[in-house]
Amino acid sequence: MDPLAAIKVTFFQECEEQLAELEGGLLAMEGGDHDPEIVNAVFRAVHSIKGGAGAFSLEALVRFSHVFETALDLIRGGDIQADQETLKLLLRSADVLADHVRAARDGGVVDEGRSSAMAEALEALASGMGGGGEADTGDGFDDFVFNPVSIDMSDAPAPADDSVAALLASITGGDADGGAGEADAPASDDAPSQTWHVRFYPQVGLYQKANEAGLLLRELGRLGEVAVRLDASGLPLLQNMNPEDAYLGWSADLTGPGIEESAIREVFEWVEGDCYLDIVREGAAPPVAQASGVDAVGDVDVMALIRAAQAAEVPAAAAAAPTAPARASAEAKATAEPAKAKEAALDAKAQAAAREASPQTIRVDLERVDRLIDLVGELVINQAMLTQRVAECGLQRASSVAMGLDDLEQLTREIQDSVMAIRAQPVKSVFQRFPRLVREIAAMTGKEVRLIMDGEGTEVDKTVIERLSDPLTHMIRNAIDHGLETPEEREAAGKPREGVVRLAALHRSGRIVIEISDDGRGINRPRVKQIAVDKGLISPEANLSDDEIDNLIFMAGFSTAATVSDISGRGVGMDVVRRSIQSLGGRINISSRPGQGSTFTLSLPLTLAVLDGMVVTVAGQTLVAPLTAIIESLQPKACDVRNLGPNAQVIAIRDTHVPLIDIGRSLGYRTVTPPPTEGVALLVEGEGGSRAALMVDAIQGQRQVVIKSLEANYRPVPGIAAATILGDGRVALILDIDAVMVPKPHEGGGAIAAPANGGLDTVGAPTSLAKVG
Amino acid sequence: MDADDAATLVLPSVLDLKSVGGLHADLLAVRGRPLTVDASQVSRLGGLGLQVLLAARSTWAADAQPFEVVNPSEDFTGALDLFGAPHLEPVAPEPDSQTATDPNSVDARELRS
Repeated sequence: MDPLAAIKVTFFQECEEQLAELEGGLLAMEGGDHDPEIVNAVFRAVHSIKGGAGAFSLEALVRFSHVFETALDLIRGGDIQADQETLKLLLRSADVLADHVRAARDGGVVDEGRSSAMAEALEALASGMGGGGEADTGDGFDDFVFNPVSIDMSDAPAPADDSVAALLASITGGDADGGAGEADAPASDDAPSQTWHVRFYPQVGLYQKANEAGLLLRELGRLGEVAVRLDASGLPLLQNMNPEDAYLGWSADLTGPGIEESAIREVFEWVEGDCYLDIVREGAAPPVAQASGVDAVGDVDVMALIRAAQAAEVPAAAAAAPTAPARASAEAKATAEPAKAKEAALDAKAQAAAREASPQTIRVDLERVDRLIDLVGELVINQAMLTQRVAECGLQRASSVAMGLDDLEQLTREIQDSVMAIRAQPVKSVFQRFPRLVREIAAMTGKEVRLIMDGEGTEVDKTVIERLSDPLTHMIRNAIDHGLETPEEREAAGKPREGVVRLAALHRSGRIVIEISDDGRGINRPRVKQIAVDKGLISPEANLSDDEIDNLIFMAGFSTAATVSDISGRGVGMDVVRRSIQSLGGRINISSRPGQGSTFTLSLPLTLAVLDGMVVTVAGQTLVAPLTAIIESLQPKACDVRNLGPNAQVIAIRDTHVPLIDIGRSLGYRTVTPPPTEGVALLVEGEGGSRAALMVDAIQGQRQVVIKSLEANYRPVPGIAAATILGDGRVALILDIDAVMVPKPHEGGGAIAAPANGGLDTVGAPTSLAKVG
Repeated sequence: MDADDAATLVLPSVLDLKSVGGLHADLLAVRGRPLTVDASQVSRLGGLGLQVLLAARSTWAADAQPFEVVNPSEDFTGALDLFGAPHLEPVAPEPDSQTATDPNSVDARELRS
């Protein structure tokens, strides 16, 4: 990939992280957490986005983040009180910022009206604080403040969250890698007050990128006492000038206690390539090499620099990485200095830095991980084959070869688990988009909604996460649009005006369970049933249990909204949700209590790459049944099996009757069903809790198998979910339990499906609801 | 050039990258006439705006024409302070170091006329 494009990709990845950080922080603030660290983190997130955007000349993004940042800085400085109204504005601004980032990445357009309205609101917020202690400089800048500067050393770009900036800076040979080095210097700067001479000559690019010299000077003024001298010696007469070129320069004497060069450089961080900058400490040796380096590149565009550094890309990234430990040690050193007054503060800072120090991470192309997973899958298969060969040779279990193989198996299993863990990601990445969704839907519907999220750290395979987004979005929409009442209705029902939607994730017995619940009105069963009857989905006489009625909403084409709203009820109903969950090997359940709300429960496998299966034999073929679907296995007794019509059979299991399905026949391996007493029945539970007994000839055992897609390698086969390769090298098909449970049309059916507890009157048509209609 | 044909220019509220082009053109259009610049509307004066105004002042001084800034808004003077720039107020043309010409000399006037 073109290195520049690669850096850009990294930038956008980081933007996503920053946006998540931003939203998380704002939500924490909304929740009443006033930890200044959170405010700082929020500010840094916007600041980083702006910085990167500036380097890539993403002007709309720069402009908006600029305004946003200004407001955040005022909050950070305590000039604006972050009350609930303000936070709501900030959260909406975060949404718009996210839109800008995505538009910049994907080339879309941002809703200009919304963006500028939000920018105006932010400016109004920023100017609303009325200048306060900053009357010494033009208040006109209040809505346009440039990167506020932090002298806190822990604020310096850390590789984990700011590596684009670090990368860019290290390419320009400038700031980031200097950060660690410079950290040593301050330790000796115990002098109470010192003077820095700063010479600053903007180049044309500085203004072109919507940066402003005045703001930089003003930022400089925040570091200490500053005396600015204007150098207009380069200014031509009016007729000879290009009004957009840069002619003026400034020199400033900055005096104050404990000012560090890095802090001054930070002021000019984002304009480094667009100005001549010279920073000298009074009484220090003549200009540092760094300054001349900047000088040399002074009027070169950052982009050109990036290109020039193409070859250096990887080493540069590598060089940027170790700054954190270096800084930490520098900081530790700083605390060891006998600057007693500072010691406590620095110590606290070091602690904060340590707390912040996130584990080191690297970014890896997903394809590489997938390839590794594939290879490990092959290894597992190969190892199983080897074991089988050894067994065929008749070696004793205790032989050293067999024992070595056992160790190998253990190791293989561990490798497999570890590799799977690489792909695992916290569900946070999909959960984090929901607060915005909830805000928007709440605004559209005029309902008051609070979203409570739980277990965001629960990890699950990346593929699962990606494919969870749409179904969850749909269910949350439904929960607010259909589930929750309007504030007035809620008050009338004696509930708080604000409805609660809860989204929780947890691990349960090797699967991930996600619950979406609301405290709304619950499912209106008479109405659901009426709609199903009206639409001809069920017969009016059907006698349905509450559960069965609840499950009707999963039927295709079912929409309970009397009027199709913007938000939900667009014809793609819960049946789509259910299907996408099923395609992930998951289950969905619903429970609802009138007046108290509904809960949808999703249960999903942690990974799509391996499966715990029961290996069975049917008509001479080896098949794998997913273990998660199997409740128990039993040997049918002749007296328990009853015929139901010419083709169907049911079996009595503990006082209920469930359909008995011969796998061999339903998959077309044979046309005559052998007597059930000669085989083994697997009692399985499909989606929605319906049960059936699947007849197989024999059980070979339980095994973890590597899933190979049949669709990708061959074509979809009804009744088969995927395939795997067994130890003997043969391909075994993995059963699609739900598909197998649905009877073929010629085998009867057509009536309403019934869960297992439905009794004899309904078992004739053991179909799953989703497939009807 | 009619020296009595004084011009007045009201500065826009924001003087930045977007507006300096227009300001530059407006100033050139009234060149050679006494100029009164009304800075009452200015809420934001950027570096680019400042240099156009400074260049204009030098130019007017070189032309020996009066150049006056009136009604400066607080933001305007605040920004000038920030930039370490003179307040642009002196009515009497005052050459910058760049402008070698003596503004009051008749020669200069004739040169321009």
